[in-house]
Amino acid sequence: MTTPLNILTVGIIIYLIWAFIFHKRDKSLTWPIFLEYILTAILVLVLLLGILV
Amino acid sequence: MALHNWFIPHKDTHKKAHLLSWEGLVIYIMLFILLQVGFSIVGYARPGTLGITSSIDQKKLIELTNIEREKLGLSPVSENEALDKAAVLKAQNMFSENYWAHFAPSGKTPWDFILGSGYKFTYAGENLAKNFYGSNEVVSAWMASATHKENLLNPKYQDIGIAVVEGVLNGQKTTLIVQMFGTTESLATRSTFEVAGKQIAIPKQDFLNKPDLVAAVSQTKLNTGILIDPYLISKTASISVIVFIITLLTVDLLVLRKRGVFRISSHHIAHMALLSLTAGSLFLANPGVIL
Repeated sequence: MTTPLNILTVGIIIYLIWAFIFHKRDKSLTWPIFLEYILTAILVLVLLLGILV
Repeated sequence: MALHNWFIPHKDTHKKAHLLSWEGLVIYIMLFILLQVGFSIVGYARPGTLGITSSIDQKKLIELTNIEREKLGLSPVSENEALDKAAVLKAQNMFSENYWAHFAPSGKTPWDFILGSGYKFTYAGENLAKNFYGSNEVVSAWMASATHKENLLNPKYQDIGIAVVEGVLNGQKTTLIVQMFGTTESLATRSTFEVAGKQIAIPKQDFLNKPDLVAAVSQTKLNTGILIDPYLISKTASISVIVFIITLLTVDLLVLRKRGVFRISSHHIAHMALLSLTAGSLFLANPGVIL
C-alpha cells in the first residue's frame, strides 16, 4: 500500500528541486511561481492520501 | 469576472485561467480535505454507511494459500475447526474493541484466541488483512510482504484457520480477514508464536493452563442499506480533477502558442508530469491493508 505513496513522494521531491533549479537559472524564481509548485505538490499528496488513509 | 477567464488565459493580460492559479489550487485542496472530513463525519454519525463491498471467500483463501505452498513443494495446510474459531473470535474482538493490530488494547494476544479455542499449538502464526475486494488480492498482498510470506510458506505449519468477518471498524463497514496457522505435532517445552516476523516465546504455564475462551461464534448483523464506498468516490474524484487540470494546462499552452505570447510562469510540463505520476499512483493504490 505504501509503494504508490513512496513513488509519489520521490516524484514530488524531484519536482520541487527541479522547479527551484530551473527557475533560479532562468532568473524567474518568484514566490508566486514557487507557491504554485508547492500547492500542486500538496494537492497531489492530498489526493493520494485521501484513498490510502 | 467573465466565465471563460476561469478556463482560458485572459485575452488582454494573458494571465492564466483562474482554475490554474494558486487560488484555484487552494480551492481543489480545500474541497478534497472537506470530502475527507465529510467521510469522517458520516462514519461517526452513521456507522456502517461507508465501506467496501468485498467478495472474499474463506475456502478460496485456503485454496490459494495451498497453491502458493505447493509451488515450493511444501505440504498443504488443512483447515482446522479450532483455528477457524480462533480466527473468527480474533476478528470479532477487533470489531468489539475497535482496533486493527495483532495485540488487543485490552491485552489479548493472538495465542489467547488460539489456545482459547482449544488448539494446543507448538508453532503458530497470524496474518491479518482488511478492505480487500477479492480473495486473490489478499493472498497476493501477503505474498508481496516478506514477513507474511514467511508465515504463509512456513513448512512447520500443518493446520490453517481463516475467518472473513464483516463489521464496523472506525465507523466504516470493514471486511476483516484473519488467517491463523499452527501445528500441534510435538509439544515443545518452549513454544513460540510468530507475529509480524518476530518470534515471541510463550511461558510454559501460560501454554499449559490457558483457560478456554467461550468459542461460540456469533455473526454480527450489518445494516443492509445503501453502502457508500469512500475509496471509490475519492479515487474517481481525484482522477477527474487531475484530468481536468491537465486539460486546462494543455488549453493554456495551445492558446498562448496561438496568440504568440510568452508569459513568465511555472512550467506546465512539470505540472503535467507530476499529475500523471499521481494518476498512475492512484490506479496502483488499493484500500486493502495487511498486518
